[in-house]
Amino acid sequence: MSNWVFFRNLTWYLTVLVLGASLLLTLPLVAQAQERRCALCHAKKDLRAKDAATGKERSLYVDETVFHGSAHGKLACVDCHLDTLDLPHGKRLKKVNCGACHYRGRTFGQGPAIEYLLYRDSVHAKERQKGNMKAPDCASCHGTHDVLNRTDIHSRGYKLNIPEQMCGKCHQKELADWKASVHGPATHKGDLNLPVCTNCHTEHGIRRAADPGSTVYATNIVEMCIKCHGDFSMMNQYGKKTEEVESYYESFHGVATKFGEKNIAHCASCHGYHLIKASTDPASSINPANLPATCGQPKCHPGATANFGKGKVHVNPHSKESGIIYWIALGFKWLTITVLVVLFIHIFLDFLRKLQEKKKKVS
Amino acid sequence: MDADKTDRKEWRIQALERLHKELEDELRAETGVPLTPEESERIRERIREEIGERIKERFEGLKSELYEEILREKKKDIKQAVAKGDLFYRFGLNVRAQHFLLAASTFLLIITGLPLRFHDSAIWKFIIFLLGGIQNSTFLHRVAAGGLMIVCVWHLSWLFLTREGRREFWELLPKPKDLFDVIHNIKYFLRLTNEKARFDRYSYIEKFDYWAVYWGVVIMIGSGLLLWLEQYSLKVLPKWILDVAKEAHRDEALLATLAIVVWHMYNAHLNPSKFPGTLVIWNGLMTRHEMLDEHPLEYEKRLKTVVEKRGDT
Repeated sequence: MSNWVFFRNLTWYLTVLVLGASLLLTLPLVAQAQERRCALCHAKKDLRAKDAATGKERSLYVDETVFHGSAHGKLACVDCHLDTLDLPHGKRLKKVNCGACHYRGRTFGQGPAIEYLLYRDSVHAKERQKGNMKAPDCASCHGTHDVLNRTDIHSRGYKLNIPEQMCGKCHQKELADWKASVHGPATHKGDLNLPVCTNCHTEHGIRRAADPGSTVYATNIVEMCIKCHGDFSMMNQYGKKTEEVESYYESFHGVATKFGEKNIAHCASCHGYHLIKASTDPASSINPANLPATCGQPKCHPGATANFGKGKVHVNPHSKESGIIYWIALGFKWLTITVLVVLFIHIFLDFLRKLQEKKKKVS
Repeated sequence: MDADKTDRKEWRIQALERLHKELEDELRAETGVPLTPEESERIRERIREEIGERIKERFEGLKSELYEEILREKKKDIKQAVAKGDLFYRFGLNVRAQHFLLAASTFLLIITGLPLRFHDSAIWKFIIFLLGGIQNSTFLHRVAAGGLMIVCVWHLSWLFLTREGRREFWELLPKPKDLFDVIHNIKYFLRLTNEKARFDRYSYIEKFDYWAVYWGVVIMIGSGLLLWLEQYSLKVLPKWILDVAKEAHRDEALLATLAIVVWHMYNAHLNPSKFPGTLVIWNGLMTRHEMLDEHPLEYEKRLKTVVEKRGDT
């Protein structure tokens, strides 16, 4: 009797165990099956549909191998296309909202993501809000099913790919200028130190240059340049000095910039913005032959003559290369020290003696 | 006192009443009709106003007379003291006005100029903020520079065109005695002698202060004008000359500021025998005690003239 009870219970146990295990094992298969169901249509290369809004025909094909190799490759289609209520979906699905995962309070994946907030205040987002649909959203730069991690050399977000594959798609003139400049890839072959668009303009929170919150606003742009040009070890790699930064800040231009004056020369006023060239280049704005024109901009020093180019521009009074200015600075330094030491000695002795006299008088 | 006051008040009221009654009687005699209470009240009001105004006028007159008298007395006192040799006129109004303009423009130049040199320190940034930004401060700097140039022209023309100026110039010229005074004073400081150096009208301390201004002003105005009128100076001069001017301007600015703050501040304000400063630069007067202490030789000379003027011994 007891034997039979034991046997019956064991059967139950085993049944529950086998059923449970198989259920757990088949769940991913179910999910995969769901994906397969998406692929039933979207893996067909000739799947096309007419866009109701623009009337253009576009491809709805999704390359599964590309998607599985992407940064989101482990996700299922419906993880992003959240409005898929049944398959096959009848209507056109809504645009994917990246902010559903990439939000500030995110606790999974790579943790909090503030890019979404930065983008929300950027010039691109504001243009879109105004109704200019040419302005980019997430997918315009990052792509859709082929998003790769920025460390991947094939990624659009890989530093050296940003100008051509992201910003340059729309900002073609700036791309061409940058390519021809000293900062372009021609002078820095495969060098990761070279500045690309995002180094100055930032990545997501890009603002108009006229916006005081912008990193390239007149009073902020110098700080963008000195991120590299004030970095001694980095400049040393290219045989350059950082004294230009100090001498700029000691000049009237630099001081006025520091006190928040925006109608004053900053780095880009003379060197240019995207098309920066070496002073030895005859086409450069800071070539000595072109300095009268550069300094003589109508807002700055109209009527500038060739005298503007006679003498060093970034003068450092503490380096011997500055010639007479170095000697004047040195002379004044020692004159000041000597005079003050002598005066202080006289004052000190006089003070002691006068105190003594006063005490004598009181007593 | 109180009883006296109430008495006077009563007397005043009685006088008013009397005046009123007389007027009323006269009016009644003229017209032959008795006055209504309203009319009599109006007359009373009018009398009060009239008397009040007269008292006020009289009081104001008395007050201004009193002021004038006090001033006259004070001037007379000063004149008497000067005649007696208790007070001495050291600086005339002209010199005092020159000093005021020089001090005011230098102060303004320093507080609008030094922030450009020490642009990283918060206190100077705050001063620029108080002055309303870099554009205002540079404008004020030029205004003050104008003041400095005016005082230079003023002083030089006063110095050579007036008799007083030429006399002062002679007194201010460095002489061998100044060198001996320096040596003597150092001995005195080191207690090798108990006698202070005896100065004439200007001590070597004051002469240094005076001549240092020439050195400073030549450099500051020269380089400052080059930089101010850069659109014209750069047409004639290469840029490196302006760089030299800029370097000289900022270095001499610091030297001059430190020299003023250290030397003039100590000798005119902070030293124990003068703290916190005298009024000589405001009213031009020096007491006999101060004269004896600081300019004994000049005191002797001037006492002689005082004695001669008085005509007695």
